[in-house]
Amino acid sequence: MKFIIKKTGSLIITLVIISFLSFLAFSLIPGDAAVASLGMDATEADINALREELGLNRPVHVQYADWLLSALQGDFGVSTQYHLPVSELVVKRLPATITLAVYSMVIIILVSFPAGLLGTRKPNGAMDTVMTVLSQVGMAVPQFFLGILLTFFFGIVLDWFTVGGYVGVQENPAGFFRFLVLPAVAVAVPKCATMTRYIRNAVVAQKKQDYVRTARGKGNSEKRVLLQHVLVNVMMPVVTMLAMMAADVLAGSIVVEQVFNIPGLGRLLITSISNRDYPVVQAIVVYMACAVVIMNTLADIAYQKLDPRVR
Amino acid sequence: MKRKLLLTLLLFSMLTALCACKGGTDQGNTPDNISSGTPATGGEIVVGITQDLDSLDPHIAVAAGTDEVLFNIFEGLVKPDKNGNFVEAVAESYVISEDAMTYTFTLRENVKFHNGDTVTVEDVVYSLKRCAGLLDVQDPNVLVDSALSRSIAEITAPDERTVVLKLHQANTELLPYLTCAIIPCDYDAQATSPVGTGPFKFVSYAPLESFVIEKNKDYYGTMAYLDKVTFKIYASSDAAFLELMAGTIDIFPYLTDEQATQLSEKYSIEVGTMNLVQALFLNNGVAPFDNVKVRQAFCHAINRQEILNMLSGGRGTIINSGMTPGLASYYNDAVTEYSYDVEKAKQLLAEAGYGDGLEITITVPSNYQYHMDTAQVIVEQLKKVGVTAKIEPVEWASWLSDVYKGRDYQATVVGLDFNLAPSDVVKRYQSTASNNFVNYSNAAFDSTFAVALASIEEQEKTTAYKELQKLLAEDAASVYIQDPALLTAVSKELGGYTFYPVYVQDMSLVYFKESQK
Repeated sequence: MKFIIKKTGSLIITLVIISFLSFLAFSLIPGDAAVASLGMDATEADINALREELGLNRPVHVQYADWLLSALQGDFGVSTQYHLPVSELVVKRLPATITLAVYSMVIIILVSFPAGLLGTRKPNGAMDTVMTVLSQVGMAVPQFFLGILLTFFFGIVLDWFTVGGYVGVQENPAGFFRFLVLPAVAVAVPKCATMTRYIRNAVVAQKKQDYVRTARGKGNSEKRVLLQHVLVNVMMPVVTMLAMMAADVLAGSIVVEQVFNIPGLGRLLITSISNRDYPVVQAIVVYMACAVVIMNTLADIAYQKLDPRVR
Repeated sequence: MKRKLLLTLLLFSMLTALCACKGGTDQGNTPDNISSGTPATGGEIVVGITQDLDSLDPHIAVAAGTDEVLFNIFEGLVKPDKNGNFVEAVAESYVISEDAMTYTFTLRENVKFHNGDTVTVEDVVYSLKRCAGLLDVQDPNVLVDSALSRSIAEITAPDERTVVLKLHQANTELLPYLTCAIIPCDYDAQATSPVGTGPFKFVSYAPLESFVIEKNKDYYGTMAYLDKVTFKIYASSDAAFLELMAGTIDIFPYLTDEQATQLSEKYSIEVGTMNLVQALFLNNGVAPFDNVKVRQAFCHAINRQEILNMLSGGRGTIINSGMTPGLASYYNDAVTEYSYDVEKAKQLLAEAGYGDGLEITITVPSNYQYHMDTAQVIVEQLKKVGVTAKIEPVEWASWLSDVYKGRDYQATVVGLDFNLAPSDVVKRYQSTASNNFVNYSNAAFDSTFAVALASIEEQEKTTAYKELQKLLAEDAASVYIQDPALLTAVSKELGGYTFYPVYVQDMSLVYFKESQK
């Protein structure tokens, strides 16, 4: 109970700090919503009138305080570009982004554990070398490029996948879940590569420990040593790494949403930044910070379960 | 050793994949007149666009990418046709008084809004006042059209079918601004559910996804052929191109030259112009461009034909001054031409005191790949005359704020769009103009512009506008490059796709060819 209160408290403080920083950064970059939405032909007077209307001519701290007070009551304001409530805009885009993130995490976990262990039986053996090279390549490929390659290969050459066939989850749930697999692969591959390498190195390092020798000495099979002893110890840093990866996956999905033309949070964020649509940007920043902090909290809880010493 | 071999193999397989990507079919890139074939009525198409709409309210929207789509839903008293003339739309006829001080419009009878209401003079007066900023309570989101607000003294409706505009001063160039959309006066959901009078009506809009319109069956004019058009919004031209390769888009208007050569046989490529004045704009107010010799040296140093060759396969129209041939009779093709001449450029730079080289920064809005690419070619060309140029990519909103409004830059590559009124293209060069972002200043220009604008005699007006272009060229106000080519991929099943001298996608003329149906 105490743990939950402590975590919630730190979540709120983190969110306030992050939202303030993003608000501040946003007020420092050139241009504002009034300039962006009135465009080239507007006169200074037109721009000032709109600034007045949007409250942009007030000092930054006043604007922030105003925003924070409403946000704490669940009101994220109205988008300056779309003239729609921000919560409506964001909520409509959540299913795509969340599904994409969950898929990617699942792929990362399913692929990188077996792949990471493959080479550890004989470090620097043939299999290990293949895996090392593969993970090297995987890490080096940018996600957007991989996205284009995947679309080209599966969508155009093999025709297994409808290019640009994104449908909303309400309209066609099956189509929605099917479409997001390939984008998730594009997000996951570089992360899988990193994770595979990480697990491989951790396992190899653990295997040199004394307790492994002892375990072997007791007559345990290699498989048993790996599963019962090594893996348990490897899990600790791996879980931390996975939690950190959640943030990367979110960032990666922003890029991949552009390539696969998925109307998710990432595209909304990019569009809103270029339109200086600060209510939307703030809401998305808060959402993403929330997601990352929650992932880290889950990792902390997992830690406790894995290692009774951390209690 | 083994490791190396594996790496080589992997690299090789990746390269092969890359080549497969690049290859594609090479057919289908010959221009083909698709406007043939017998039109069939009906059908649905998907048009790819790469810019989300900035508003559905036609008076709030300012992006060219929005206007080109909303053109299908909204009409003004008049609207442009493909030749750049203004034809009657909501108005049935109009009379411009001889002194060009009064515009009288007679409304067409029984024009219906998409919500079923008949267009009344109140609606027209309201719409014009809203555009011109003359309403008692003005929405600050509406961009007031400065040409209208400056000229119009009074808008009245003497009877049920007549609207009269009285002007402050004579102006024969107001018609292009009266394309301002006519909307219902007592309707406040324009931004979410737009209502106009055009050949198509609004169906739905999902931000970042799509904008859907359907045929307006009550249209007073020539009925559209297509039943439904979906404008699908893409994050980038690359994303759209992938779908084009997969064949899920019927029309895509922003192909790059490279994409055009990779297009499949399913599409033909239509070539139009972007109707932009693309230039390396120079800030005449700061060093080194406050020196006319430096500006002239830059004009000589830049090989415009090479830019066209590298970026659009040689397509595009080279311009020597601040107007494009799209402005028909006002365009002056006999201005000072700066030939590509490296020696001359070096000599002029030396005379200006920059014989030992010069470093400049070109600020470019990075969302426009075309201008970014142009800037890159320019940087290479400038090296040959001893100028080291650095490209500083900035976001559009930053460009607007720092470069365009703040005039805090040395040089920039951008394309300026314009209304078909000749004054709209060159008014920014008046020394006192609020949008004179190049800081151009020439008393002769200012006085000639005043003559051009006030003149009601066509011959005098034309002469004055031609003189203005000559002045801009002589002073080398900027390095004018071209009106870039616009490459549009159109499915071969379709006909009727038409280019306009303004930025619009007119879907009412597009049809499925009979044999294809």
